[in-house]
Amino acid sequence: MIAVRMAAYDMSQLEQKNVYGNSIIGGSAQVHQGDVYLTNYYTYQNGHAAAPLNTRPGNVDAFSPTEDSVQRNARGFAFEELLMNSRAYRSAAHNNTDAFSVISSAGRTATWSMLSGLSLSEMSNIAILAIPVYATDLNDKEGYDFEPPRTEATIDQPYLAQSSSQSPGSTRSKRSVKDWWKQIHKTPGTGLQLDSASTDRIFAVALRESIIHANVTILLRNDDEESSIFGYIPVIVAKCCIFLKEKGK
Amino acid sequence: MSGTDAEDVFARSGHAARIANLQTVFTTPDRYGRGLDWTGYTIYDATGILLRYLKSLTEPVIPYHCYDLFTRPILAHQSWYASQPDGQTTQVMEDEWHTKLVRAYQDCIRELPPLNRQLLVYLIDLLALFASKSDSNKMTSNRLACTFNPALVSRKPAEMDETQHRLAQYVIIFLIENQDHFLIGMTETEEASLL
Repeated sequence: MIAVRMAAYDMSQLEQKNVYGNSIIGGSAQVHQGDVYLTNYYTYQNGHAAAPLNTRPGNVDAFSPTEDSVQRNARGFAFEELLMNSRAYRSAAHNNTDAFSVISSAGRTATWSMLSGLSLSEMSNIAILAIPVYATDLNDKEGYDFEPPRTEATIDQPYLAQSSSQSPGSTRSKRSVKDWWKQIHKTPGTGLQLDSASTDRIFAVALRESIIHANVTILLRNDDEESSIFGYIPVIVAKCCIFLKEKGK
Repeated sequence: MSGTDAEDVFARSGHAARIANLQTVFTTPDRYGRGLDWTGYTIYDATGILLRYLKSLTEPVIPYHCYDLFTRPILAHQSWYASQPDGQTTQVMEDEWHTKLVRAYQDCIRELPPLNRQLLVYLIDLLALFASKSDSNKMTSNRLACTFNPALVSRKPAEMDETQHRLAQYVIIFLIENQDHFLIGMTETEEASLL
């Protein structure tokens, strides 16, 4: 019973963290080639077993199989079939077609982060993704700031550019991710290198204000080739959507 | 390969420096990015700047005050589903609910402020296109909803929890999968004329 509950919990975690089947196969967590996501969420164990970092430590010791105690077959763990037929899994599958965990709850939690031991110079790319972890999910929530950043521009732009260009010999590139993260949050707003006056008209304002400054008219054509105005959307949305629909990479 | 076929589009990050360049282009008067030449940029850069823009807005595309309006139909369906013994439902009942939900969301969309409504319909149209190519780009409506729900429908971050997050996701999934009911006559668009 405990195993089922843990597995169901992990499944929802996978779903929540936007990490999906194609990147987690046969119990190994793989980062997309060339990209490092700063989710810091998966831990490696013995090089191939991986499990989400559990945010509820109380559950950790309840079920932590070792390599030997879990029989694996070609389809995954032996208990996988039982799990998939359980009521909890079936109702989850009904609501959520993509929800399928192949790694379930194998592995202990606090072992080795995929970012441990890496320096910024070894990362080809750094992205900041909003992951849906909320204050209610954390035991030590007082240690985190859950207010949204005022603007995206609080990231020190030159710093990001430098870390992604892999300049050897740079003292900055030897800093750990933690320092870098601290640096971002220590100086909100001051790292802004863009012309803030013009940035503030488009980004980080109300939709209405953004559209007033830069808009595109959407015209509708009916069957009789008559055009009418459907509405207005921001230039940035229209440009991106047209590019995405037509040109590709 | 067109953008809609690119693998993990919207889930993969672009290049940080190129996205910063795009942000500069889109925020520079007077053209604010009209006439931008995309040569040298990848589709992942384009999705990166689009998501950054949407998330930077002070409110989601569906504004905070409309959040309850948009989650109410899904909640009603969930409580009906929970009231069925052992989750046993017939196809006829499901179909009836589906029709009911479509109508409810048509009303919801009509109640949005005009600019928000236009942007939402436009974005849902785009997402449905990508979801229809999920065989090649691996982005099912479920994954798209994960990526877009903070930008489209959300409460204030401090008021969100896991339940609300799932709920918001269901709303987006429903809108994407039934997008053809929400077009409200939007078939041929001519946005290129002003770019």
